[in-house]
Amino acid sequence: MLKIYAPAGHLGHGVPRESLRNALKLEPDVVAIQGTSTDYGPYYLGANKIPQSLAAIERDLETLLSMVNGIPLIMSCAGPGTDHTLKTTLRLLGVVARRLGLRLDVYVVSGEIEKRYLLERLERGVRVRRAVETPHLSEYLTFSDVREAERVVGQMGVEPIIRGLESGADVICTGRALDTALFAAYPLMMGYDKGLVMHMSKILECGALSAEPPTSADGMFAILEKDYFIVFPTNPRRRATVDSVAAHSFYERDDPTREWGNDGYLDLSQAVYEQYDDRSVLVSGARWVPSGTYTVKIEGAKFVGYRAIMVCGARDPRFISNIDEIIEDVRRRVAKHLGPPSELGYELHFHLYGRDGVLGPLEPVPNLLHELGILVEVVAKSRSAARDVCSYVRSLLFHIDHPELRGLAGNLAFPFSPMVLDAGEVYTFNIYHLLPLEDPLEPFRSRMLTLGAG
Amino acid sequence: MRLAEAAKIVRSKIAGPFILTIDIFLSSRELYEEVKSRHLINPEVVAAVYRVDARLVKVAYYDQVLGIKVSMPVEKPPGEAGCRDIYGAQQYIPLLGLEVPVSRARRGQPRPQH
Repeated sequence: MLKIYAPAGHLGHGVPRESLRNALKLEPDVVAIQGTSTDYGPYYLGANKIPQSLAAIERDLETLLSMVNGIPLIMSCAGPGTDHTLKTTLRLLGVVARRLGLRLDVYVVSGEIEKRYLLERLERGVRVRRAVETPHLSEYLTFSDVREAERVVGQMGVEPIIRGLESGADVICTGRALDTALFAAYPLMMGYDKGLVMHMSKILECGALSAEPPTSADGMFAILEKDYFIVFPTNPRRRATVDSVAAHSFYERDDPTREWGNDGYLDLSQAVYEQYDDRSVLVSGARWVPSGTYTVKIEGAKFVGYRAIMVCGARDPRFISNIDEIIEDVRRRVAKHLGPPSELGYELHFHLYGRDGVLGPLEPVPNLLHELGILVEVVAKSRSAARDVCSYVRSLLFHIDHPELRGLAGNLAFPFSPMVLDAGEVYTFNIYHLLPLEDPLEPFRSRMLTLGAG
Repeated sequence: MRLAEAAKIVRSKIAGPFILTIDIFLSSRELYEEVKSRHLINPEVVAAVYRVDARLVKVAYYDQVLGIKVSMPVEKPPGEAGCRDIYGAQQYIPLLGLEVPVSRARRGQPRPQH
């Protein structure tokens, strides 16, 4: 028997102490939590930033370090999982350890893949296919994809994490990692069935999101046996049900019965879920199908320009009912006075909240209400061009003369001064490819650190 | 019957930066069996709602949870100029109004959610 606890679905979402205390009474063999993702968009990878509040991450680390003792703590950190965001998390870990008077051996595995290494692989003729069929990516990774990317990370598998466990470290901190690898490393090291282990890991990775009521800000416990596992939340106000656990295998995947990993896929078509007791679900039947190859998903973001935005509100019914004509007029005038988008290299978008700001042309009820929230978005090659276009749109929209308008002083309410805001750099994912590896450890550099009280 | 009445849960999220995935859990086994056996939710009807090429839409049925999984490319990848929904978390809304032509006898057991 082997026991694993996922104290929350993501580092920085909040680790409830009471649930962790309940979990620790059950003596888990390992505690693991994910902290990396691409869900927040390419900006964080491109700009090398953590999207979560650092204060929230620090609080979660404090909760974990103050309560988890004598068993390995495994986490991926943080955000995009670059070397810089990993280092930021390690700094917080050091601060917390010193505050608690702890001295920690931390096994650190970088998730960042050196561009030089990738270029060398390409030079040697390695074919790196895109992970998803989409016109937004090169079918096979090119030299310019690698050169244009600000940086590249890879979703490491269990292998580097197992090295960390073997080292006897107190904490294993990885950069970008396959979420399931954090939970699967220990049971696979101990020789448990890979199908069951990967299925269990898939459920645990989001914490109590597979419980009722669901949340990623609470924990989920798993007990793994030879041919089944049992999952339940340790917060008594939540429960695991057959529906909640089975439905979770749907989440964030485009195929509910197949979950691809680095060296095969998890086949869930024969998975069986049974209510074990009022709050626990017993799961069996998952099968691991090896692919015979080993690939890691690599992710890169390239810089495309700068964004300037303006947020305002319209309340005049005549302005609102003529908004499409007014916007067309604004576009025409911007193109005439500053230059057309193609020539000047900008994109201009109007997000009309209150009408169809969320769904655009797919909005089933594009009703015009009594007020309209307008977000103007300009993306251009330079910061000044983005600001110039947005500023010009602002003055046009504010003062535009439309035959039906009667307001003389201006058509819009601005909440802020400055009215046009610099929204920073814009990036796009240009690498989302599968890098074949002969050695799963190869591109992931690791080291042992001692943090905390001296 | 509209999907909003036929389903217990409808939700959407991106599966990686380029794929939008929508989960539908129907409210009863009977309803699910009928929808599945008659392919009432299929790539063509979904493609019509989202105005995409039906060849890009995948629909899979998952008996154990009365679930239907719909996947298609995202309209714009997250972070790009003009992207409206980074997580794709609100993109299930257009599907709620989809007419699911189940047989007359089933119409008494709706569970409106939205």
